[in-house]
Amino acid sequence: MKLTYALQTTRTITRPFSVLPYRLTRHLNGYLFLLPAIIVFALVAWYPIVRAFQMSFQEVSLIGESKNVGFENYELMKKDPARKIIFENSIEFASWSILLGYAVPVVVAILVREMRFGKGFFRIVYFLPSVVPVSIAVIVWRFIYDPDAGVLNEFLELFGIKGQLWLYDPKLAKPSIVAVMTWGTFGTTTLIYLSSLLDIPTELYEAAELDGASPLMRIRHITLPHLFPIMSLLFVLQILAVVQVFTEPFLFTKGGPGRRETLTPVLHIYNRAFGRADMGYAAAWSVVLVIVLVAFSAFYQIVNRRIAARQEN
Amino acid sequence: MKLKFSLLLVVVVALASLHIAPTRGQDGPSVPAVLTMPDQIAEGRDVQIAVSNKPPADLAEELAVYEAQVAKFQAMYPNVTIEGLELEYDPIAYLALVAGGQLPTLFKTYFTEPEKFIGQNAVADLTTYYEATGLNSVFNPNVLAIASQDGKVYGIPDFAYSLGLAYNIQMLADAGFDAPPATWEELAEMAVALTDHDNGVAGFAFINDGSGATGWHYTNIAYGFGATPEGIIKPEGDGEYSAQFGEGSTVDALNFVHDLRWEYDVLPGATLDWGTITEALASERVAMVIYAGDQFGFMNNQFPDADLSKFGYAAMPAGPNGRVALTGGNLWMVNGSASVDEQEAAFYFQAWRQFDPVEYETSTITLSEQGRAIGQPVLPLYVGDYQAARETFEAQYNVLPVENYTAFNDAVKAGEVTLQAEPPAAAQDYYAELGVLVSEILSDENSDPESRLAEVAEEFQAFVLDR
Repeated sequence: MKLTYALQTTRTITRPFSVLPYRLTRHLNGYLFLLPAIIVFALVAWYPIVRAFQMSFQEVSLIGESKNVGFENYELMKKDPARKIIFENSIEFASWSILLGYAVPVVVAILVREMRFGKGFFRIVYFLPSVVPVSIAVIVWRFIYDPDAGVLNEFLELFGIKGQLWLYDPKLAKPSIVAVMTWGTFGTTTLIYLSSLLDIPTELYEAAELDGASPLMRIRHITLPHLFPIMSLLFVLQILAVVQVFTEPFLFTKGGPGRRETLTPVLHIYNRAFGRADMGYAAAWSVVLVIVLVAFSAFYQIVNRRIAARQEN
Repeated sequence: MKLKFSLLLVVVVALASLHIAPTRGQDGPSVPAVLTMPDQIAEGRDVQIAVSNKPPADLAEELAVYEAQVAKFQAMYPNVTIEGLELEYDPIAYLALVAGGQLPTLFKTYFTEPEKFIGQNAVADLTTYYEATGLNSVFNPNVLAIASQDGKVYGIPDFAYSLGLAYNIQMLADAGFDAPPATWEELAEMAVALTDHDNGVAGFAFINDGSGATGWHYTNIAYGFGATPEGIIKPEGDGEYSAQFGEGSTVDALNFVHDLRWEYDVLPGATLDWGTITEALASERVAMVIYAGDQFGFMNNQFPDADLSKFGYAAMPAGPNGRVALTGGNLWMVNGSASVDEQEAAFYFQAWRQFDPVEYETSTITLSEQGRAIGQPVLPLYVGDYQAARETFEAQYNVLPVENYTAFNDAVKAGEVTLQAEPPAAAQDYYAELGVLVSEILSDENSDPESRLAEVAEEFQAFVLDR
């Protein structure tokens, strides 16, 4: 009883802001330390998000008052011919990226993991493209893809294959761009897979070898199941990244060739915001993009959990 | 301390003058003085202005000329302080500067931009200064009109050019042609003879990267086929406009572009922008290109190994409306949010360095000595005796092979080239949209120019003109 009394007294004395809930004041020092970061983060991240949402309902004037226009910007999106093109392009970009890029880091990570010598050397070699800035990579790849004097076409001609308009042919532009994106990012993803592979207890492999499992069987029954959670996460992240791709199409093709074959949502938003100075319409596109991506992520998470739950059962 | 600094400044200016004075063109004619500077700026009150396009440190000689100019002006008007900014015009960056209220007091921009800045009330009305100095009678009225709206002048043009046709003289001669094409049909036929795909040589090229510059070049072709600014975007009164480019001559021109790619097959495979089209011409990967006169300056400065004597320059090929060319250029504008004192200082600083005979002659001689592009085939910025005097003076210091540009210069002087204005509203948006469409036509054989132009015009009406 005495003890209870003493504790209550202490609480009353040490609470500096008695109107605030104890949960908050208990860690007041911690929150005070967090405050500068929260203020900066709010200004550079949360405020622009809220402002973009507000702008999507406005006809924005850069100088002077913006005018509220209700849902006009969203209504206009329904008439935008780019909408269908962007939707199709996003799906095709995501498909090409899964087809060309998703398996590459997994395979490379497994190969590096299996290496007996030079593991460190290859880790560095595969990671090197990741440290090259995209703008520099684009300049290099322009030389590679150049239809008149490019390295790739000259290489093909050695085998009697006709040179291609890599970035200028509507059928080739998307895979050509996805190849550059894969080249630039697979090093980082490989390292993530590699670190996950190193977590697998070597006893499992030793036991499998003793049981006579071939390397392919070891990969199928030990490596891939172990990698599944991280592969699943990176699958979502890759689609989110590809749908939001901007730099490569902007620098390579400006959304062309053909009927805007490489026009992506973010490139369209950029064109409307900074090309036409139509900030309100661009903000409406941004809000819709966020909603679609959040919905996709949530849907994927739900499906993924159900699959995992079924496997456990 | 201030006195010491002023004395130092005077010594620096005097030394700079000593260095420059003997090199001035005493032997040749000098340009007349057409500008009378005021005794005081801002009635002597302290004023500070920020000025864009200060030469970067790696262009040491140009930077020295600029700094000497600034020091001299500040010595003339000790109450004025000039802060140079190594900031070059970029439409997107400047959009942010306008939004953030950070425009420099005096900044250089393109001929395509005044409408945008004036529409946003971002720039100052300079009419009173023009009237006070009488400079409005010195400028070519067509050029000054680009900087004007509703009778008010908002900018100081400092350079004007038109599009024309650059060509490789030897490549044409080797194919049996002794002159550039006179008509668009002739151009297509000559381009077929000049094209050698096996060796990566295209007969003809224009900017084809799908940007606004592509739409701009296409529009010049369309003008050649009979299109007019009002036939592209028609003023309907009360600030309303209608997109008319979905039919007529613009369709003919786009069909011609389609045929250049898919029937004549004379265009390059690579995408070319403002810079790379010069690289293609200089490296003889293309025989004829739509080219702005000042791009010879770009070639001269950026490709030191290029032999400019290989290239000729002619007026645009003729169509139903004769030879028609779009114009371009640069002008200086003054921040509308700056104080009256700042605006006055900005106007007089630019006017002084552009019209003061000593400043003009010194910078021309310095540029010539550095091998920079003097003698570019550009448009006359001024009129009458003053323009003639500047041309005569510059002729002494030509760096470029001006004899190769006779066909262009003679056609312009003889009035054979109609300098066409841009579409009357949303010209940049129109160029951007048409750039995308031209890129589509060039990369998709089955894309139908007529139906696609109509669709784009309808979209442009809804998303740009009706907004």
